[in-house]
Amino acid sequence: MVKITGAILLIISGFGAGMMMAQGLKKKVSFYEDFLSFLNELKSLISYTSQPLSDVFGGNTFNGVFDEFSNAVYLSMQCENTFEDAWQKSVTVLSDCIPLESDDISLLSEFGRGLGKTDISGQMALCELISAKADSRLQVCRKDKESKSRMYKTLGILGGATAALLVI
Amino acid sequence: MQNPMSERFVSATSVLSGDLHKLLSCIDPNIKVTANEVRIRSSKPVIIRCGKKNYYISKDGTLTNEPCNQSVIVNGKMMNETFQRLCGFSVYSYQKELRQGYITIRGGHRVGICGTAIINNGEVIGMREITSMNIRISREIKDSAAKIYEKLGANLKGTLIAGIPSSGKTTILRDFARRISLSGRCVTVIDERGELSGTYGGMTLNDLGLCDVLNGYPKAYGIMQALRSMSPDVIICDEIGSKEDCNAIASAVNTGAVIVATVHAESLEGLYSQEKGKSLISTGAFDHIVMLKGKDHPGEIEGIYRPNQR
Repeated sequence: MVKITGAILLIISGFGAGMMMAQGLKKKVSFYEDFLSFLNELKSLISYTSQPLSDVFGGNTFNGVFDEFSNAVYLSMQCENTFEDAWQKSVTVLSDCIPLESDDISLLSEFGRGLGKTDISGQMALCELISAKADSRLQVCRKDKESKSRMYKTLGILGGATAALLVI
Repeated sequence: MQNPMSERFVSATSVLSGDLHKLLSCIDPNIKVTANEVRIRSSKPVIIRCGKKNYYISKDGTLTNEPCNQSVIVNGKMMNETFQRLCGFSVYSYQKELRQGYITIRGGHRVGICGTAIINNGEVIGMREITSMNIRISREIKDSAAKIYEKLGANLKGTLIAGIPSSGKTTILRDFARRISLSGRCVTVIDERGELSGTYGGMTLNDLGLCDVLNGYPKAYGIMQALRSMSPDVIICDEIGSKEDCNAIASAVNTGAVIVATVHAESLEGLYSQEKGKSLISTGAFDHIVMLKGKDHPGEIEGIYRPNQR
């Protein structure tokens, strides 16, 4: 009885682990969709209103994960950090919540280093460049999600089942 | 509770890099109250100017009358961070101001910037490699226009306040605008540089009484907008003199609005002999010219004259 219970728990754990990995892929896709939306919104604000970044980030303007991210940047700037330092700190916190790889973090860092440093046309060019890179990453993440989600779930169940058989 | 003049010093120097701001926040309060400028230059000591006197800040926060080994020297990192803070970390937000060579910050303090011009088709489009900055600390001195208001306020007609830089023109104009607005007249202030009102985040930080403020508007455009939309009895402008300004003022005169403005002039003769002065007087907008004494006696009146009176 104990062995059967243990086996069932192992199968469930395996399935859970597979689900978590699949969820991670889903979160990445959602992250890049939010990021592209954030970039579009930022472009409009910069080109139309020319508001300084402290106003843009303090204005509850963005959606999804970037709402919290922009608040974190804003609050960090209120503590007399430079914008670049505030941005980098907030990227570090973000990477604890979302499974970002080094390429994703590099992309965010690259954007933070350039934001606010040039005139409007320079900012638009930066936003376009980062949008293009983010869009490319989004396509890769979507493909990964489609091809790997089911595989992770299946592997999870199989792994759990194998472990269960060994126990039994 | 901190002295308001001291608070103005702290707010003006808040754009400096973290290290410099901390040092300057701790200096002698008497210096904070009397300082009118803070100058920073690459690889040179930080200077705090009080009138004609220079003070140099040391690494331990003390002030000396001459630069010494302990004087804080501005390095590239400090200059760069100060510039970024000055622009609110948003250079794109201040393109027009950078072309003009100064930025007005929260509180109405003007920061002049020197660097290398970026030229396109013969026009200055921006600035790079910043080498020095001059933070002019704006002071709101109520009653600075008391004497002028006493003489001219009751039956107010077009008034031109003339003087050299740092003679107190803007400080007097600010108080004059406040007094006029509190007398029941509708006053619109065309605050192109944001120095009069110190507008920030939709709030005017300087006391302009009951004035309506068109913040950031070029003067000629602002005057016409005020005439169209605000039915002003009085229009206030700082540092007028371009051809467009003169045309706008002439239009305003035709509507019956009174113009009160400032203009750069070293002397009355200087005002009459410069093209700008002649154009302004020829608009017929000004019944009085208030000549200020100068930098050594800021806010003091040399005399009140009629146009072309010597």
